[in-house]
Formats: sequence, C-alpha cells, structure tokens
Amino acid sequence: MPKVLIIGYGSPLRGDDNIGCHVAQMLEHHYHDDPEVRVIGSHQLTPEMAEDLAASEFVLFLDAAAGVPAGKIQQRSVKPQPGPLSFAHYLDPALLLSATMELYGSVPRAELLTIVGAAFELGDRLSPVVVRRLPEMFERAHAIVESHRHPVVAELLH
Amino acid sequence: MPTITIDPVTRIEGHSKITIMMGDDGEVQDAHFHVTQFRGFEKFCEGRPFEEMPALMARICGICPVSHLITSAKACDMIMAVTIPETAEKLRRVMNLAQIVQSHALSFFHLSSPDFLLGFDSDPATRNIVGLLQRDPKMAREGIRMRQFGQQIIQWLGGKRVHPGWIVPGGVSEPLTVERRDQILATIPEAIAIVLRTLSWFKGQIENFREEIRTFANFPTLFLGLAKPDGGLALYKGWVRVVDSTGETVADHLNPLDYQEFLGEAVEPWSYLKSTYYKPMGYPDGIYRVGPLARLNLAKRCGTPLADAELAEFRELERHTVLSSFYYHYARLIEMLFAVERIQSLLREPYILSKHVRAHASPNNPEGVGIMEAPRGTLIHHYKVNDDGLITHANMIIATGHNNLAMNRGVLQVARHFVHGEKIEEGMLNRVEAVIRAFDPCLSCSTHASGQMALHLELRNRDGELLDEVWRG
Repeated sequence: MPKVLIIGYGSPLRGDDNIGCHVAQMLEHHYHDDPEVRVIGSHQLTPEMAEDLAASEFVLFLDAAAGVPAGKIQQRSVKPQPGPLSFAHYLDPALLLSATMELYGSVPRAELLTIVGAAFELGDRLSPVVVRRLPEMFERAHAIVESHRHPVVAELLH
Repeated sequence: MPTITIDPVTRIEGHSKITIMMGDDGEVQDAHFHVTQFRGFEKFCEGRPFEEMPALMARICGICPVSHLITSAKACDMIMAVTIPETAEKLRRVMNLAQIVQSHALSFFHLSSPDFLLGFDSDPATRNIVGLLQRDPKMAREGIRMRQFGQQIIQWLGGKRVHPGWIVPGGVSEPLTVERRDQILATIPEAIAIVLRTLSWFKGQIENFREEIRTFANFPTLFLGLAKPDGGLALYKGWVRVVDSTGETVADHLNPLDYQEFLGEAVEPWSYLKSTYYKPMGYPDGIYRVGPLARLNLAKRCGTPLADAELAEFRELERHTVLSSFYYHYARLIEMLFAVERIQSLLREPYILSKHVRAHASPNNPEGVGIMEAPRGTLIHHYKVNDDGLITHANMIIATGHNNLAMNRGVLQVARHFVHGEKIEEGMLNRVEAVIRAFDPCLSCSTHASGQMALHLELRNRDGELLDEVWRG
C-alpha cells in the first residue's frame, strides 16, 4: 500500500491554475516504479478522494495560488477544518481531510504546496514566470515527500 | 438603493456572484446571478485539428468531462460524415449514464443533502459534507459509493476517471471486454438499492420544505430537452422537445442541428454569461429550463421499470408539469435510478462485446453539431473546419447558460421571500445560494487556485457605504 499520496489539482484549461497537475506529472515520472508513492492529477478535489487519503500516511497537495508576487512558492501544513457549503463543485484540502476523519477515523499528515500564478486566462500553457519556477517547485515537492518518507535521513541532511 | 452582494467565487476572468438590490423600503427590488462563460474559446480552438477536439473539450470540466467528450465526438462524427457502429453508440451511452450518476450523486448527496438534513438555518460551519457525515454517516457513505460507482465505470471504460480519452471521433477506441462488462454488472444491485433507499427518504422529507418548494424558482417557464421520437427520456440522442408550464407541447421533433433557428442568445450588462431563450417567443418571454426537472417534465416515460414507477409518482406532485426548482433534487434521484437500470440493460444487449467500435474517415463536412443531455441539461458543440480539417469556428451552449434566465428569476423570487432589511442573516443567505444549488450550475471550468474560492457578501446603501459584510471560506 502506498505510504505517500500526491494530489495535484487545477483546471487544465485555465493557464497557471493547472500548475499542481504539471508538478504531479513530473513527480509521477520520478516515482513511476516506486510502490510507496501514488500520484493523482485531478481537475478538482472530490469527496471520494477521502478513501485515497485514508489509505495513506502522508499526503501532499499541489495547487496554484492567487496573489503576488507571481512565482512565489509557499508551503503549509493542512489540518482537518470544516468549511461552509458552496454551490460550486469544490472541496478544499482541509474540508477533504475533515471528511476523511469522519469517514475513517484518522487522517494522514498533510502539506499544501502552492505557487502563485501569473495568468489564469483560458489556455493550456503555463505562464513564463511559472515555467521558470517549475524546477524549484518540483524540488520542493520532492524534498517534502522524501522528508516524510525518511524523516531521520532528512534530519541528518539538514 | 442598498445592494447586497454575495461573491462566492472570485475568478480571474470575470466574477461569479449574486447581487441583491434593495429598495428604500428595505425590500428586494432586483437580483442577479453572475457567472463566467468561456470567453475567447473560439480563438483558443482555432487552427486545431478537429479530431483533437474531444480530448481538448473533456478538459473543460472536472465533473462532466464525459458530456463534453461525447458531444464533441458527435460533432466530429458529423464532420467525418460517419454513422458510428451500433456497439460504439451503446458504449458511449454507458459512459454517459455513469457520468450522470456520479455528477448527480455529487450534487444531491454532497452539495444539497446537508440542507435537507441539517436545515437551511443551521450553522454553516457544520452544514457541509462533514456535518452530513456526523448526522447521517450512512447516507454520506452511500453518496460516496454512488460517486465511486459512476467514476469506476468511467475509469474501467476510459482508463481514467477524470479525463478519459476512450471516446473518439467515429466511436470508441477499444471494445468492451467480458471481464469489464461483468465487473460493471456486479456493481448494479448495490447502486439500485442505494438510490431506492434515498428516494424513499427524500420523499419523506418533502413536507418539511413546503416554504422552499413554494419559493425556489417556482414559476411558469418553458422546459426544453431531448426526447425520443415516441416521447421517451433521451440522454444521448433525440429530437428537441419544448413543453410549456401546463404540459402542452410547444414544439416537437426539432432538429438539433437547427439549434440557431430556435435558440437565441441575449447579452445582459450584469452577466458574463449569455442568456439563451426560445426564439419563437422572444426575449425574455422565451425563458426555459433544462436539466433533470425539464427532462422529466417533457418525457412521457423513462423506459426502465423502476424509474417509470418513480416518474409516475413524481407526476402526482403537481397537476400539470412540476414547476418548483426544488424538485430538481427529486428529478436527479429518478434519473440516477434510470441511469443504473439502463446501464444494466445496455450491457446485457447483444453485440455489446463486438470488436467493431470505430468508423474511420477524413473530414467530409465543413461543419458539425453535437448535442446531448449532460447532467445539468442540453449541451451543444458546434464546429466549423476548413478543407484540412482545422477548426475555424467553435461555439458551445452549456446547461448553465440555458438556465441562466431561470436562475436569475429564481434568485429574485427567493430573495424577495427571505431577504428583508439591511442585515444579512445566515438563513436567507443560504436560501439564496440554495436556489442556485438546485440548478447545480457547473463552475468547474473556472480557476480553482488556492485562495480564490472564498465567499464574500456585502451590503451597501445607495451611496455605496458598506452596511454589512460577511466572508466565508
């Protein structure tokens, strides 16, 4: 059973909104033969993903962010946190973790890694500023995954 | 004039929000629901080979990618001037029905049932999927099972559960195997049992929501959708049928290819989304609704035994057609039942395992129109190509656009009933949102970037001064 779950999400036709899926694809390529890591690329988070979360020890969410400056990479821990109901088909990581807790009685540790997008217009390409930051985003995501798979090694390296 | 603004989805390209204009007497004067449309989509598609369109269109939406995929493929079939193999059509139908189930399950169980179970006045912090899990874990789990039922079939057929590429111009890329067919058939009994249980529960709840039923977009409109030549429910293929609020047929056997002759598109300054209307009745009198409620209002029968029994009971709700949009939820459950039954019967049909599932051809027509019923209503894709098969024009009419006029009028009706004074109360806010939820508009084509989905509500007076403000999310 995979210990680590990576979920990259965003609209593939909304420019930088799709950055999470892009990085997820890079990680999928990297971990292709690793049975302990499972990668999901998705348009958005949906309730049935609770089952995937419950089966993992650690989950890394990859998403775009709004704001400034474009290209800024941020990381934060995510805890279960119920949020208000929307009429949009939308779940955020904290609400999905809450649902997982209710359904399965436990949740994996979770981190959210985001990069501020520069362009969200209709289109299937990332903006140049985000493209330039892709290698660092990948490295950060990779380091987060490895630190949770091998916490002792990560500590020694630091 | 004070203005209340509910701003649930701040998007980069336009905003989606609800604005309620208050009069000096503290009563609602007008209301609008604003959503983003695919601006610039024609340009985006221009120059692409037509055969790439289905895979590209599927990426528009994370909830109903199969609808865009199949509708686009149907437009491409017409450009190729082919009749796809019978087995391919049946397999496309199976995938579409699976998507109807998973999409309706998301809408009913996870977006709307917290309102039914916890009440419209309950704390918004608990009126969500987590509150649902706490109040009725069995129903919440069964909602997830229904999502998985539909998603699993899509994944088994298409290889992926979100953006499957199995449906292609000319048919489908791979035939169905015995193992896959039997896997799907094995999941049918549980799905039917869940939907029947949920239908029974929902019918028992209806009396608790008389006020919402009376005020949730409950007014006469036309209803439009596909129907079989004999009047049966059609989701994949049929003629366009229009009925009025008394159930009288206004138009029947309209050729979907002539959609521009009977559908008009109006532009309002307060919305990015065009408002479609039934052309012969003009704008805005040609207001109509599409989607589950419309489909059941214009269908004479579903065509499967359990769904037909439920449809007969549904018809008893009102004397003619069912007008309250609150009953979209009820209609969704009946359609889910129909979809599961129909998947079963399709998979038992002869030749479903045939290896002949794709027609091949070069472009033979300069344009193609694809039309089918998506979970939220009639979906139209229209492409024009040059001699090399490259797209020169693309136009799409989505269900949320068809329902735009009705949603706006619904927001106004519910706001007039529940919104008073200059303070925003939780119950009134949720009811205004809930009338939109009843239509299940799809905003999946929008940006989901972290930090973009907060709900912002403002109340301002005629001078623009902020009187009240609520942030959620």
